[in-house]
Amino acid sequence: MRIQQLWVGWLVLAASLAAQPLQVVTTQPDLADLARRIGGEQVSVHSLTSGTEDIHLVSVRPSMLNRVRKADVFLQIGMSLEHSWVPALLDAARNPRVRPGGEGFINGSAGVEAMGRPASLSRAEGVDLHPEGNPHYNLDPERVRVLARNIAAGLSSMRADQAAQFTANLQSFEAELDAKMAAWQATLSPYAGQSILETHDTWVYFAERFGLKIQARLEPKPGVAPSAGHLGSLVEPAKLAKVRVVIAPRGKTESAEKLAELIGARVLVLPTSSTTDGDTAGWIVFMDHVVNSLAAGLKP
Amino acid sequence: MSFFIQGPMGLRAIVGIGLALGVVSQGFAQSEPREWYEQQLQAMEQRYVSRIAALESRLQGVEGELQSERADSQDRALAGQIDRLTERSGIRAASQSSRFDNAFNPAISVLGDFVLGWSDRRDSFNSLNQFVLREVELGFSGRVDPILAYYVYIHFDEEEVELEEAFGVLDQGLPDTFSLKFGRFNSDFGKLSPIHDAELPMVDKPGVLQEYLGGSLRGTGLELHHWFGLGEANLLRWSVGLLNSPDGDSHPIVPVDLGGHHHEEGFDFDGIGKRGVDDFALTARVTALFELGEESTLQVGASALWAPHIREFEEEESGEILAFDRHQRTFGLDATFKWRDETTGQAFTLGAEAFFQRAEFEAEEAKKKKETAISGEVFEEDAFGFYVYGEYAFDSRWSVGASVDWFERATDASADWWDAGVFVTHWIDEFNRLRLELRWYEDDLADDEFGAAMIQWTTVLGSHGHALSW
Repeated sequence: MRIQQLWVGWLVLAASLAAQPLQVVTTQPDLADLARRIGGEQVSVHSLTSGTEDIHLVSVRPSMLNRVRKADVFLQIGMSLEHSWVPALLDAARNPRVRPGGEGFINGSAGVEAMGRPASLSRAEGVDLHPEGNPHYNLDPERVRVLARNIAAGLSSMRADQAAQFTANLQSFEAELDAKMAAWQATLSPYAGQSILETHDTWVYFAERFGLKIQARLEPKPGVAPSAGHLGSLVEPAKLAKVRVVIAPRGKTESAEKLAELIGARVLVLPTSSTTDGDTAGWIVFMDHVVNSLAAGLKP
Repeated sequence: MSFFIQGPMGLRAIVGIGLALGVVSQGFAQSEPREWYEQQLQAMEQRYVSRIAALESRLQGVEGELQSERADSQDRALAGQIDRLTERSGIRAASQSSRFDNAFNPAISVLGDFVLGWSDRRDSFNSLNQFVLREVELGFSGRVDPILAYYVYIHFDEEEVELEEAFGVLDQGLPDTFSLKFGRFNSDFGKLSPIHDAELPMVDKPGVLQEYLGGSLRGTGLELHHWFGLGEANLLRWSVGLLNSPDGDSHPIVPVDLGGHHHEEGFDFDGIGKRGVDDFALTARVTALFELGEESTLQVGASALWAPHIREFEEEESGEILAFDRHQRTFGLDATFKWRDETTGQAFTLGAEAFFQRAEFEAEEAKKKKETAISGEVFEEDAFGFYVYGEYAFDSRWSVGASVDWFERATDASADWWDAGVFVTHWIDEFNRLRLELRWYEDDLADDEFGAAMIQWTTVLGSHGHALSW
């Protein structure tokens, strides 16, 4: 009788543990938003960054270590976007579930068609080189579709009994994405072929998807600060191309403002990911903001 | 049914019969004018002819697809044959990794630290008012296997080659968050001591670290590490180490003792006698990190070094070997506050460490204090010192800072040293850094006051890993 009670107790315990939501830790908020949409009630999601940081250079804080230590799933953008802090964080957290190769590690960039792979891995080509290609694929809706599928596959492998629900949630997201994609293309189609300037090599996927042309970058090479000489060399070509918008990241607008003044363009401070709260919380909302801001900026 | 599948001609026959029957039946059933029937008949004929044409077209399409499929099948068969031939073309390949294979080589980095320093310090001919290639550090690191990583750092300068560190870290094989470091390494003592000279916020290690620890407290032995969370946003880390001896190493441009390269070793001459358990040195550190918000952290720590039985051997001119047994205890307290705006790169760091040392010194050093000391006599000295530094980063490329350093001489606490300086650091990029530092020094022991100006240019080649600062 006692053995039976023990077995029943174990089964109840196992069932209650299985019902606990997966603890998902993501490196940035786009991933967190997608994980919530696809995981639904099966996941409890936390983003390690709020979306306002320079994701290349994040300082690891104690709470990050504690979160990753207890995580069931770790979700990253990949393509060396987070290389300055994620490898050390995962090493120190000592959670084998979420280390690369572990069942809870999901690399969002798996299967994403990369652009901007450096032809040569020499720092003569810049100091912020990503051997796997440009990591800012979260700015392209079609590549985000691949990312979402990766998340669904990763979660399904962790909770096989919920795979149907994850798939349904994914389909729901993709349906919304299809509708939004049509709307975004309609918004930006009048500006197809227009030239823009950007500070860092960030908007390549977005520009390709919506038919914009990145005329030049303020950084002469990736990770190399804009020099006065380089900015000067951009002025005449930008005027000829009738550039109306210079895209700058948050907190680093000085060079963009100088150049924009010289060529008679607008500086557009655009986030490169959604945020955990505020006006750009949620990836779809963030993309709405980006598309509408660009459309307003590109308007003559 | 077989009639239907014989092709378009069969279909036409069926349609013709159907039409004839339809016309006849309609002719009997109704008494409309002949002209109207003829029109209906023509219309029906046209409809059926067009349907027949469409069916013929579809049939031709199906036949085309069938032919295409046959061609694809042939292509696949051909491709399979080519694959098989290609596979066979590898029959002369070694199919073994070469003895000279570089696939599993470690990550390699080269750090260069070049300094130009001016000073009016007396007797500084060897290190100041000239260009100094302070260090070329060659680093190798990689995983030995899934549970063990290994690191090697070799120091080169214009005079010597030195194995700075060579250690393994068993970082995945132990339970919980335990890890074990073994080999020769910078001991986990305080905040700035374990950091290599070129990675400091200022040009030289603070004088108090040079004086009490020899710069970086370095030794050969074992060090066990562990950490655990204190709630959601804080953590506590601790370590204990067992070292052969508390060696120290640094390469200051302005050393607290004249002579440049500061290298303390546990013995000066080949040892005699037998090593015992109390010949080992023990180190310990406990440090807590508190997250004060999304942008700031506070770290406090305490460190201890206990060397119960340091043996030093010295050969006198007479040829007699003198042995000195002495002890050293050093305690340190440190606190570091960091604030960083992750959006703009603006940051502020305020760090301080205080040290207390109780150490015994053999006669030669003690004579600095006691003129009457006799050879072989050992004296005990208590000494205290600290440093404070602050650094403000305008962004990820420019920062300014200042530091103050004061300590009592370890061998003679009645004499002290202090220095204060300001430094401006410019990161041209992540791997290329320039620094200008101006500093003022007062040295009681040498009865000297002097200033120094230093320009430091530090470059990094090759692989670069990012470690946690904790």
